[in-house]
Amino acid sequence: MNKLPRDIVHDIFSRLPIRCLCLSRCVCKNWYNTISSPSFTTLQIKIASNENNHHFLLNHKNSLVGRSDSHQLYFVENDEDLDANGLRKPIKVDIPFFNASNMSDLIVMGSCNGLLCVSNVDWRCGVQSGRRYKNLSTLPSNPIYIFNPVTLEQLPLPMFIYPECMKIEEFSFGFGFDVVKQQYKAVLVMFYKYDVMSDYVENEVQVCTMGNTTWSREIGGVLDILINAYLSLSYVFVDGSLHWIVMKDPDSPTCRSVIVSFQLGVEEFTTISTPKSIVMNQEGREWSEILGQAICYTEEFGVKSRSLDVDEIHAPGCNSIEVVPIVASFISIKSACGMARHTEKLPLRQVEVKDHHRKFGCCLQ
Amino acid sequence: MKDSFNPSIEPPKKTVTLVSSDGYDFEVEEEVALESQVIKDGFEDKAVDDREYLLFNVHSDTLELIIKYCEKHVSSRKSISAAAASSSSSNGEEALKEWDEHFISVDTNTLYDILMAADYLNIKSLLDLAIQKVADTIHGRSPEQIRKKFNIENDSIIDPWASE
Repeated sequence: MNKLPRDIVHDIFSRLPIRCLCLSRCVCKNWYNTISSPSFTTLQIKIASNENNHHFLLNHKNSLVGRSDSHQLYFVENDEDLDANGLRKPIKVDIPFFNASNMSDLIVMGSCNGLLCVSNVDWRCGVQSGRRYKNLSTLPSNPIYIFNPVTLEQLPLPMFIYPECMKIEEFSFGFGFDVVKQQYKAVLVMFYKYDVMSDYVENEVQVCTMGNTTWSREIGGVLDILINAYLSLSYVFVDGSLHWIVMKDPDSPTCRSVIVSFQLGVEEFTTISTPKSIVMNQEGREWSEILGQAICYTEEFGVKSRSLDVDEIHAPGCNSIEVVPIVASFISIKSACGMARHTEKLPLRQVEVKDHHRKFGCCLQ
Repeated sequence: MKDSFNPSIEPPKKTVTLVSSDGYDFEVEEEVALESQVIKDGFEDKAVDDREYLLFNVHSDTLELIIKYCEKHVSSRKSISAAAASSSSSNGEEALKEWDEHFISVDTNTLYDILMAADYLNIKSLLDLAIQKVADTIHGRSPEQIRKKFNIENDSIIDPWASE
């Protein structure tokens, strides 16, 4: 096979299912080098962006096992064969640098081109926020990792800087790819108080470009409304920018959602207003409609939206699935709207999970 | 139009000569040779008596197979479109698929030769068939089985079961 032209070899490998491809790396050095090469990766991303056959990850919050409330990732490959029941078995993804415990949890800070940006959150260092729709009010642990859930390759990012503050109010994050400079970037936005008694909230954004040894840091440059971002609904990476859904005037009856975007190339914030005001219900379950609206909004970017089809998902040994927020494929993904972290538990009947998706989630191409 | 079905009126078939790397001449019908995009490109510009192609990269054994494939596809296409024109039902496409499957079930070295020749001659459908065959051969096999099948020396630096 080594005498075949490179294009043909690439074509052959690109037709293999992902897990088969991973295994094929072990055949010989030559195959390993070919499959790991940037040109093959680029081809895979290109192919995946033209097809709808996405592989994805389930971020399953497993509160049944012990007392720990931690998340576990499952990988579902679309082109693997179906089992006797016509289902595909999700494979548990072991995260080598993450130890689940009662007091820490895995957070997926973003996914892009099949890579995940993940970290731990250690609840012991955080101060819980009073607002009920926020559930993360501590910073992620250093270091944050870039992680390939299929090959299990990992890359720790350099340490981000903890601000010298008394209290972290909120933080948001994102992970995306700047097509112009061909760089991956992780973004961390934080709001904090120097003085707990004071009303003054400082903000800052830190950006890490993969390959750099430090995070760049800008204090005071963040749009204030981003403090009301729906962290629990994650963020969306589309078209070179990160987008967060933000509630404007969350406490007033005229509360409406706005989309805050951060362009990765120039590292600047902008807002996109949404056409219709939405009254936010106190109950978390109403978020679905907010996100539903957000999906409609994405059409305005000229972005196609597509609902996830999770018919085939079946997590063994669990009778409920709570969260299904990230869409990933080997080297290729689009981004996806996250799902509410604390929605009511859904029984794992396929139909209902599907409905859940239709209602809450949508893959943005 | 009706008369064209009468073989006696049909003009004599134009032929093209393909010469393999080991010096054998293969005379094939023009439309069979035109299955190759490389031959098709610039075919009209070539003088009629100069329609000879030296295929330095294709051995006669492989060329024979390639010609067999092209002939089958040209004739199948004709019978499929004829069946469609007379709106009679035909399973021509399925039969052709089966024929392809049988055709490409060859040993690894022959498969490589076909791959290289299809690439060189730019015969898209054959290239696709051969590539898919290699991919199917890899799929579902362990690294050790793949090495055996493709005759690859084990110089692997990673342990396949390390991540299992």
